[in-house]
Amino acid sequence: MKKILTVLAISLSIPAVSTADNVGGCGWGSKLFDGQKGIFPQVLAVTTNGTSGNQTFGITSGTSGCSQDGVVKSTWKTAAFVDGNMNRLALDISRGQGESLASLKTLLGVSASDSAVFDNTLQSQFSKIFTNSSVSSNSVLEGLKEVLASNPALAKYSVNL
Amino acid sequence: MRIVLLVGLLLALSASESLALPEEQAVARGKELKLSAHPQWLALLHYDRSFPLWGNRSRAESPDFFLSPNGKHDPEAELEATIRSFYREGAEDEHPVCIFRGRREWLSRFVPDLPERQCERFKTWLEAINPEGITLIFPASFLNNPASAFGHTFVRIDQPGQNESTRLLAYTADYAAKTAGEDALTYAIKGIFGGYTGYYSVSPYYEKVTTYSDLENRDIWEYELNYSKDEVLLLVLHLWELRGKGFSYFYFDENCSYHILGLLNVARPELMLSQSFQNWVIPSDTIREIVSREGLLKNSIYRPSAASKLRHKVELSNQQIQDVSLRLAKDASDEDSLDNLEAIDQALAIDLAYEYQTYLRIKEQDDGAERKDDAWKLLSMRSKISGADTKTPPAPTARPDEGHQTVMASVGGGVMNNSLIADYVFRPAFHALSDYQPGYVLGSQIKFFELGLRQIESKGIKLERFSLLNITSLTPRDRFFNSLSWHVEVAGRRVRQSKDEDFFAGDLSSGFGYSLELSPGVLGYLTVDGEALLGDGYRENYLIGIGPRAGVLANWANSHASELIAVSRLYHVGERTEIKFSHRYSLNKDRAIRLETSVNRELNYTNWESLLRFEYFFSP
Repeated sequence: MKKILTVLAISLSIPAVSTADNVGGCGWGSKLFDGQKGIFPQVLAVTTNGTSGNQTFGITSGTSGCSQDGVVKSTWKTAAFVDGNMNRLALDISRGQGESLASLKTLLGVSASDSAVFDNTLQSQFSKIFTNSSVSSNSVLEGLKEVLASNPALAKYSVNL
Repeated sequence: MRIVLLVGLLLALSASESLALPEEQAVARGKELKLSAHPQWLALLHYDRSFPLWGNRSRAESPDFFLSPNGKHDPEAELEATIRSFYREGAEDEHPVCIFRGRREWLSRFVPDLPERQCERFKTWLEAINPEGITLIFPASFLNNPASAFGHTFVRIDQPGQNESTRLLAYTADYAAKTAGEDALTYAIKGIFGGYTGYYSVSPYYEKVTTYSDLENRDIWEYELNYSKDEVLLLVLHLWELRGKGFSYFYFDENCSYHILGLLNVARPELMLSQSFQNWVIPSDTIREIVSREGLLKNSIYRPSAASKLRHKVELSNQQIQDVSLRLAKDASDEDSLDNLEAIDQALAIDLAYEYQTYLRIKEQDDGAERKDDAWKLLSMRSKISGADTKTPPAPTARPDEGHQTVMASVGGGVMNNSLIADYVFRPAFHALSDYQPGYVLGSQIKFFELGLRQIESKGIKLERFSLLNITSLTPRDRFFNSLSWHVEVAGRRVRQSKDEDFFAGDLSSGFGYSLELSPGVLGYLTVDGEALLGDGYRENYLIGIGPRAGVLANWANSHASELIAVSRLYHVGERTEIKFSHRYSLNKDRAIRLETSVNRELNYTNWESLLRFEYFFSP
């Protein structure tokens, strides 16, 4: 009986995924040029590679419910990618090319025929996306959304953000 | 529609429960087929040889990795306990059926109809991982960071249809000791003697690339491996059961690379990868081992570090572009300096300026707003130039695994002060300055436990030198890179006072200075060294001194290299002057002939020697 009730509860409450949730929902909020302090080379630290890093794989839930067991929940993939790649994305977008930019295109489902327009548009609108030197990932996502929405060829991708 | 789904779900649930093989039959089948002795079962339990007297045992340290209290030593007990655990009652997500997915998958190939559950949390995770292939990732060493010299290995789980635009999005499995920010010495001691517990972790590849490539400036090599989709799936299912479980960590032999081999063992245990390493495990050696296995390497890809990309742009820039870049890197509002350049050159100048500025910001750990503003200005500037391609550095001609093997033994003979000598050297690791260069960083030397024995004419063999560690880092300076060159040595050597008098003294020395690239492959350096010697042959049992050391390292070609060193030392009593020349000729990467000749005037006694050595490099 308990099992039937549980199953009922799960099946009747599958939440709808709102795209608006992606922006600002997870609240990682890293900032451009943050986290670039680097690792100071150590002479005696011969046992390096023993990072005291995040145990992104533990039994407990990951940060703010957007990732769990080391993987990002699918609805948050784009937001997580932008949040974790601010510096590389800013660099690639300013150059109109690069691996992080290519990965973003994959996440947004940009077709091969729209690829060049995507790169050029983002490059020319760089300062609308990265508005200042400490812009947060949430602003970047919003900026990206606006830039895409205002271009007829790319507007269809803005909903994936 | 929902009702139909609901009914379907209920039916499926009840069906799985009633069709499961009865518990006693499942256990009996496992015993009958002797599954507990199967290499795959032992791989899943991370069993490996330990000290001969201790026998085979699991490397897992967390008690909850085992379902039997004797699981660490008794694979048979663990097998029975695992099967029985599937039949337990219990909450879904933490039920053994949902945790030990790797074991369950493998066991079901022999024991049909084991109990099954929905395991939603696991399914979500597996869907995100989406496994198809495995790539071994090797962040190599970076100049001026000998701590990184041995490299590191972890795996990336490749997804179907993955290409160069989607690689960054794949997930990785890594192994590391959990530290608590101790000081470097405690860190070293705990790491060597097993004071840490290690854990596997999962994270997106782009996070790793940022850490290793952008922050630590390490080139990354990706080795795509030829494991089948099913083998990869079993590895990933097993990875799930490693979640939060602690394993052993010993810096020399049960380190990150050892445990990554342990993970690969699950995919194809008959390769016996971790068992190939009976002594210590050096990450680059594990790559060598894997690459040597027939058909295991599919493809290799080079991913240059931030510093390598920067260095390449410096090489591409003429004097004018470099001038503009340096100006921009210092002050990004100095836009006018771009005016004299063509658009293509402007792009390169800005790219170089930005990358250099970032490199400095990271190196100097400068988090200030002004530097960040400058960085942002440079990016804005760059965004106004379209159609200019960014150049990437070509891959080095040799991969790290294509370098010489790490253990060296040499036999030599020659003359010392009119007497014939035989000289024997044994060095467990790693690379000397003038050794065969490809695959290693030019200017970086690391020697661990180097032992030298010498026999003079018909007299016995005596200890000539023992180097606990000898680390040298020569980083050539130029307009963009101006790191300090340095070396440190903890050793002991034979000090000669006269033809028949000598004694063994402890020798600690350290030096700092600068080096320059005199021409491609030729490094010149000058350091100021401090030295302390301890030995009963000295009047006061010790000697301290300081003085310059100058040297030239020339790689004429891969097969030929020369080294010239001149040392002058002023001790609190007495002085020393030494000039040493060495030339190495390589027959292949693992066989070399070395000619060495030196004159050493120490404490009023002059010692000269000339030797021909035959060097052999082999795997540990």
